[in-house]
Formats: sequence, structure tokens, C-alpha cells
Amino acid sequence: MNEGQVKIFCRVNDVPMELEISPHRLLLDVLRHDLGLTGVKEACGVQVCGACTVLLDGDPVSACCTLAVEMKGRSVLTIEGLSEGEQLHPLQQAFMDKAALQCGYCTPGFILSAYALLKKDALPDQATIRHWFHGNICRCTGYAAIIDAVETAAKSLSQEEGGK
Amino acid sequence: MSLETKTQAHPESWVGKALSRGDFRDRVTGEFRFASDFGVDGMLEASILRSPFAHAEILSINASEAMKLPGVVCVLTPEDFSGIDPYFGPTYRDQPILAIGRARFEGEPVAAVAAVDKATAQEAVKRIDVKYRPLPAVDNPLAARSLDAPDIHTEIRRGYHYSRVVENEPLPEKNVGYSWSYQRGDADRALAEADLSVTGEYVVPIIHHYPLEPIHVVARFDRDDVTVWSGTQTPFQVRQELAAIFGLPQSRIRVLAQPMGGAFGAKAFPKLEPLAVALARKAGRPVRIALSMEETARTIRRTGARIRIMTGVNRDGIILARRVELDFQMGAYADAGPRVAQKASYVSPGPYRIPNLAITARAVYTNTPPSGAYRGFGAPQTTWAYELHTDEIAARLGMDPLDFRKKNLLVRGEMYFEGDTPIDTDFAPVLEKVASHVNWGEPLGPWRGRGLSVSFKPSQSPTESTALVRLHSDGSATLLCGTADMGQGTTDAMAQIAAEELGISVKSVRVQIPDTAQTLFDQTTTSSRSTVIMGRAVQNGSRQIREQLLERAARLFKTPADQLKVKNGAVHGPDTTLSIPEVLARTSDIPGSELAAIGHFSTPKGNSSIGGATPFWEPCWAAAEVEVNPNTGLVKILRFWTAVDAGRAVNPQQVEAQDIGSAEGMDVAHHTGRQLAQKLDDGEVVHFLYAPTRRTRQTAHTVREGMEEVLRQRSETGIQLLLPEENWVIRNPDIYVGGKRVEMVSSPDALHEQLTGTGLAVSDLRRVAFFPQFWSADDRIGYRLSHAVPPGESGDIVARRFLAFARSLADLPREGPHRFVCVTHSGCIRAVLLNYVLKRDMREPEFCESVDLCISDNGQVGITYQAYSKTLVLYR
Repeated sequence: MNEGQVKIFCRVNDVPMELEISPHRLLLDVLRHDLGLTGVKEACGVQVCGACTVLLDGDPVSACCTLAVEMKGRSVLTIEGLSEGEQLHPLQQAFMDKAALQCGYCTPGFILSAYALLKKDALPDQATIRHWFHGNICRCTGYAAIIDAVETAAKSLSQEEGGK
Repeated sequence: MSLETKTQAHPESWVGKALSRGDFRDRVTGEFRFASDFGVDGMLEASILRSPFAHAEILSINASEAMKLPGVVCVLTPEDFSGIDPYFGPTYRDQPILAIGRARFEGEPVAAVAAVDKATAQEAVKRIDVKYRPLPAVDNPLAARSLDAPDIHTEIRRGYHYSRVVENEPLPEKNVGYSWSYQRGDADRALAEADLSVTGEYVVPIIHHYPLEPIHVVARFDRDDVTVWSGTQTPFQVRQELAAIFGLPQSRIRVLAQPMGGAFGAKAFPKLEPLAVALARKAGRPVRIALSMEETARTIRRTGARIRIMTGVNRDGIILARRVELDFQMGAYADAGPRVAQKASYVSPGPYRIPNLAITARAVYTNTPPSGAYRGFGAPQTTWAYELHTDEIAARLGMDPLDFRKKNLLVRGEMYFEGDTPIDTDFAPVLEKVASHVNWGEPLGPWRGRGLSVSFKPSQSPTESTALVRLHSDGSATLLCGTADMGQGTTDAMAQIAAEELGISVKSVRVQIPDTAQTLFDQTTTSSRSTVIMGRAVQNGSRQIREQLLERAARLFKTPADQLKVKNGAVHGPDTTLSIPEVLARTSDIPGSELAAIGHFSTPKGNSSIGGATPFWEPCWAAAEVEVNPNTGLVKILRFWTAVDAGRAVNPQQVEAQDIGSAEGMDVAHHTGRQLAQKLDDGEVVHFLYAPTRRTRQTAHTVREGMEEVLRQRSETGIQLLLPEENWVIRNPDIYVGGKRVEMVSSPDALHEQLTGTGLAVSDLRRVAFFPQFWSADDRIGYRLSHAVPPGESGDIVARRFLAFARSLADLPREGPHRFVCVTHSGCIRAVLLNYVLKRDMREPEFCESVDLCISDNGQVGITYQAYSKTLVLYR
């Protein structure tokens, strides 16, 4: 191991990993450049826009302002880990069906943020979704379609649950 | 808010269908490759040293310490420019790759490093020693035109792209890069003779586009072959300028326009491509420049404007004359600024019938970042001015604003300007319709009001697009067209148009991204032109292929071609149907042979005042009903309707998304306001402090709205909420006081001179520690401070500044209880909590909505957040 590096064990998109990283490096940098997970987007770089949102043990964090060593012993979910093979997650499907994107640069952050919300609140109302999203910015589409998509996905997920 | 989309879908047709875009899947799974995801093997990373001064002479650059750093491959300075012509710009070639001898705006590139990784490049930049001699700087058009202002440019060469539409001599007056004027009738006489004349002045600041993806470019230079992968709206313009800079044939320069995460005009024309190629040339290896958002904001802005309008009307409300005077803030280099000024000025009288008209416009150089187009080529700036003015006239006449507009709006077929396309929409009828959606004319509740606006703009002309259409032997097709993808969905629209003409499924059409080595010439992806102009080229090419296909089928079927139809992937005759692959196979001796055609569409340069007649007008309308809080002046939007005449919507789903995207607002800070209101004591005065960006301003307003909601229920009268605009509005590095941005000055007295009407005394200014920090800063120049560590700051620095500012409020003069509500980025609040209170990050979106800071008389800051509380003794 190189001097100054730390060794950590973590899970990234459900894959166990052993990483050696410098403690000053950002989560965004390690996910994008070392692990090739380019669905994590860099935008404002100051934890305002939410484009780099990933889930750390299920909680949304801004990868641009989180140190990579914080992954130690924890589980990271990026947009790449959301779909199962060809089967899209209902949130991804709803974003497509409701045209809740244009360029899509903010979309991974929005979807992961919404994923975390639906884990806490399976059927959130519009006000809750709006409030939850104040850490995410979209510059093309606006928010109406995004909120619509989250409501749609929530309904379809809770029906799935009900059917089980 | 809502919107109606006029759909004219044909049965069994692709055009007009609300289709889910083919690229959505890759965009929701993270697989989509944006410009910022692109890289090549062996690539170096770059970092740029930027001028800390708004205007300065560069005396020397010493890069020897930077070169000693392991991992640094090269440092580029202007000394490397021998043998090339290092200037670029679509209007004038006035912008150097790196500042040569003189930096003209804060943030201008002065030197650049290519290194094995980004961290090394950034470290090397800090070791470059540059000696500057600061020069006087000007940050607004009026100051720049004054006689004692510095000359920002002394010599300007014409560029290529706008050379046929911006034809005047550069620099007609001091610091004026462009002037444009127009006269019809005798405006002065008609103004003097009018029953009523109304004058208004309207100012719009420079802003940044903020596409979510910052600017990214990768370049390689292999002997005399240049390849550039760039998130650009204009690959062909970039190619042309790179060829001129490096003295290479255009055939040796290959620009591949990578899909962008939004652009909005910020990524048109060369930006960092010349620097990337120059670095790759010196390094002998490919180089990537990946800007941060802060650097992107220092690269391009929307043109600011100061607009003065005088209008003469008769008693019946008919406009007789108008004079418009416009000064545009262009920044340090022209970029598209002159064309923005020209197109904006052209529509500045509004879509009204005006017999006597005079327009004078100037685009002025200032020591601010270069400014270009942003969603409308200046039309938003001028619409805001003339529609405010329209309401002012109606009010002075005592006339209903809708009636006044209806009397004067142009009608379909009428000429706006001689030589242009007749008006192709129905301004007044659509305005009446949007007005009806806000119940125009019906009695209004107390403190409610309604407003209307109508806007329009011309597209690009003269204009040209070409497309290569290929129909493959299996009946699928590939389009090569130069329209860049910035998320607007044009690639899908092109596929729909081709599928419609070729009678095949939209799913079997591939649209190739622009690559100047392969795609045919396209002017630009700007000015809302692509769906219409490139769409016509694709349609034209596809029709040629359909004709070729039908000719072949006619021979095969022994039936005249005009009795054949191509639909659903097959050619249908009166008696026979044969699939497209069968027709192709049976009419060729070569298996796999395909059909190809070049589609073309252009409009000529004409006699219109801005170069050519617009191929189509882009009109839009809006109506709103709002409620004003009589105690606070706060405005709440109750209803908001917009309408666009998009012509035939190729994909209605995308048209809606584009329209709503430009109107969606905010609803996030109410909750915070409600929480704050619970803490207020009777008789308190609440001040709002916030940054001048629109987002923060809106947040401040909404926080206040939430507070008021609670206060109404409590029906307490003593609490006084001051409007953010009435209050002190502060931001580093600009200072806003009383809602006005003030220039950096050297004394409280000089600052006070700019504050007439705010009620602030010089002694007030002395007492607030925040202000003296600025006028006592050694490194202050122009109106900005030099940052020791540009552009980012650590969370700790932000937190310390935040707390120091909070503490400075302890010195405020006050009578009775005061409370200050500081609206800032959640990141700043988090930094304070992380560093001083919780020692752990709050994370998003569970971020802290509000933190109480209590400042004691001895300057200590107490912090309370939820259950945590702490008192800090900070540095004095």
C-alpha cells in the first residue's frame, strides 16, 4: 500500500470492494474515475445542485462534498446499481413515461434522492416530494413532471408490494 | 401554470406524435455519455491560472517553479504563441487564447498547465508567479463610455461567423464594439406632437446560464491533425476558428460535438477549444480541460442591458411614435454580444404597429466576462422592458392593458419591419385567450392584480443546414446531421421527420452526433432553428430517397411511381406490396447496397435590417394573476398561463417540456419561514439578508411568505417584516445595499454617496464590520476582490466567514428587538454545523433548514440548531 493511503472495505452497488485511497479524495472522484461509475455527475461542486447525489447506507449524500473514506464499512448505491439487468426500477420507468427529463444530467441525482424518500415514506404527498427535492436542481424541464413521476412510481411500487 | 399544445398529428404518422424519446433509457440508467464523461487514453489534465484583476497589465510570468513539480508536462504561456494567430471570436477575433500582455476581466486565463492528473495541474498553477500592474476597470456600459474610462480594446479584427450580419466598423466610439440604429417616419416630431408621451428606463444585469454540466473539452494534436471532442453547440464554427488559429486546412481539424448536459447558449462558438488544442500541441499528448461550474460562470454570461423607451400615443390609445435607446453590456470580448445587441434591439419596440420609430443601440465593452446569447438572443431582456412600458402607458391613459395592446398589436400578414417575413401568428387572439384563463376583466379581490405580456423573436437568417440521409439495405436508416445534442430532443425530432418521409419506424432511424469530418455543414445549434431548418434538410434528403425508392419499385411493379406509396417499411402498389429490403435487393446487383441523399435547406441574406428575413417568428404569451400583501408588499402568483405558437409540434411532449422548463418556479422555503415565525417576539423587526442571485432572492421571499402565514394566524401586529429589497442585501464579493449593487470604494463616505434614499448614514456604515472589510482590503481592485485561493474555498473558510459576518451584526445600531434572517446556501449552513457544532455532516436532503445565531454584546456567537447549542469565541 502506498504511503498515506488507507484501505477500506465497502459495498458499491452491492459488490464487495477493497479500495486503497488517499484520505483527501472525494467520493465523486473515486466513484467516477477509479470505479468508472460516470452516472455520478459533477455540476456545482459545492453541494447545492444535487446532481452528484448517491446513497450511503440508503441516505442521500452529495458525492462532490463527501470524502471517499466515508464509504468504509458502508454500502454505496449509484444510478448504475438501481436497475436489475434490463429491468428498470419503477422510478426510472416513471421518469421516462412522464418525460421528467430533457438533458438528463440531473436525473441520476433526482432518481436516487426519490429512491431514498420512498424507502422512508412509501406514498408521499406532493408537498413532501417538493420539500424533499430542495437539494436537487433541474435547469431544463422544471419540477412538475419530476414530482408526477415520483408519485407514479410510488403508486406502482406500493401496488407491487401489495401483490406480494 | 398550464399550457395548451396545438397538435396536428396525421394518422399513421410519426410527426406530431408525443413519443417517449429514444435516448431516455440511457439517460435514466446513467449509461448516457455526456461531454464530461469523455476521455482518451494517455490524456493529460489541465488547470488554468486566471487573472485576479478585472483589468491589469501582465508584467511577467515565471513558470519555473511549476515546471519542477513531478507530473507537470508543460506550462502554456503567451510565449508559446509564435507561429499561430492566437485570437478567436464569432463576431470579432478579439479574444486571445491566454491574456496577452493585458488581462481584461477577473477570471481571464493567463497561463495553463497540463499534467498527469488534475491535482498536480492545480498545484502547479499555484506555483506560477505572475506580476501584474492593476489598471482602472469599468464594469458597466455607462462607465465604459465615459471619457476617462480606460480603452479596453484599441484594435479589433473581424471574425467569421457573424461577418455578414454585423457589418459596421468595429469600435465606432470609445469602448463601443457595435452600434445599430434604425429610423422610420419622424419619431422626434411625432413624440412632440403626441397627446401623451411616456418615458421609462429598465436595467437587466448580466447573469450566467448555469447549464448543469460545466464546460468540457478534450483535444489531441498529432503532427498536423487536430481532433477535438467538445460539448459545443457549434462544431463547424469551432473548426473554422481552430483552422484560422493554427494555420491548418479545415480538413485536418475534426470536431466531434459531444452531447451536453444543457447549454442555453453558454456553449456556442469557441470557448476552451483553442486553449485545449494549444496545450495538446505543446504537450505532445491529448489534453482534457474540465472546468468547474465557477470557471464556467467566468467563461460566458448573458448580455446585460440598460433600455430607455419613449412612446407617444393619442387619446384613443394608438401608438404614434417610439424611441428606444439600448446599451448592452458585452464584457471584455465580443463573443456573440454584437449579434445579441442587434437581434434584441430589432425586437425592442415590441410586436406593435408603430409608424414613427427610432432605435439606437450600442454593445459596450466592459471589464466583465464575455457575454453572449441566453435563451432568446436578448429578446427576454427587451421584452421585460417594453412590456413594463406598455403597462405604464395603459395606466397613464386610464385604459385596460389588454384593450391597449389589442389596438396596437400587429395582425397576421402585417409587416413588422420592411424586408422581413410577414407576421405569421395571431398576437391579439391568443393574448385574449391567455387573458381569459386568468379571468381578465372580472372583478378582482382586494390586493389582487392581473398582468399580461406578449413577446416574439426572429430566428436565424441567413441560415443553412445540410444532412446526409442513408437508407440501408434492411430498410433502416442513418442520419448524419450537424445538430448538437444539449438535451433538447432534436435528435428524436429528426428521426421522426425521416421516419415520416421514408415510411419506416422511428426506432429504425439512427441519428449520428456531429463530427465535422463526416457530417455535412450545419450553421449552428442556436436560435431555436434546428427543428425547422435542419428538420427541412432531413425532410428534403429523405424525400429524395423516397423518390429513388419509388422509381426502383415502379420498374419492379411496372406501375407509375405516383401510384405507389411507402408506408410501414414497405412499398404499396395498387395490387402489390413489397418490403423495402425486397425492393432494394431486387433492383440492385450488389447485396447490401444502399441509397443515400444530401438534404439541404437555406434562406438567403436579404434586405431585412438584421441580415435576412426570419424563416419563422417565435411568438409567446403569458398571463398571471397575483396577490399583494398590503403589509409587506410581497407578491404571490396565484395563476400563471403561458402560450407558444410552435407551429407544427414534431413531438408535443418535448414542446411542453421545453415551455414548462422555462417557467417552473419555487416552493421550497415556506416551511423554514413557518418555523422562524414561531420564534418571533411581538414588536420585533425582521431584516432579510441575502445574495443578489435570483434563486436566493426567491428563497428569501418565500421564507418570508411562510413566516407571514403563521403571523396572520397569530394576528399579532407588532412584528414588522421588512422586504428583502428594502433591506441590506449583502454578498461577497459584490455588495448590495438597499437593493442596489454598489461599486467598491475606498471609504465609508464614498460608499454613502451611492446610497442616497436608503436612509443609511455614514456612521451606520462605519459601525458594520462587514463593510470596512471591503474598503480596507489591500488586494481590492475594480469591484472585485482578489481571492487568495480561487475559485473554491474549504468548508471551514466558508463557515468562518459566515460566523464573522454574523458577529459583525452585533455592532448594528438598533432600537428594540431586531432579528436578521440570512438566506444562504444550505452548504454554508452545513459547513458551520459540521465545523463548530455537530462535528458531522447533515447531508442532503435532510439538511438543516435554519440555525439560530445569537450574538452577545462581547461579540460571542451562540449557535442553536435543533437540540444542539454552543457558544463560540471567534477571532476578532
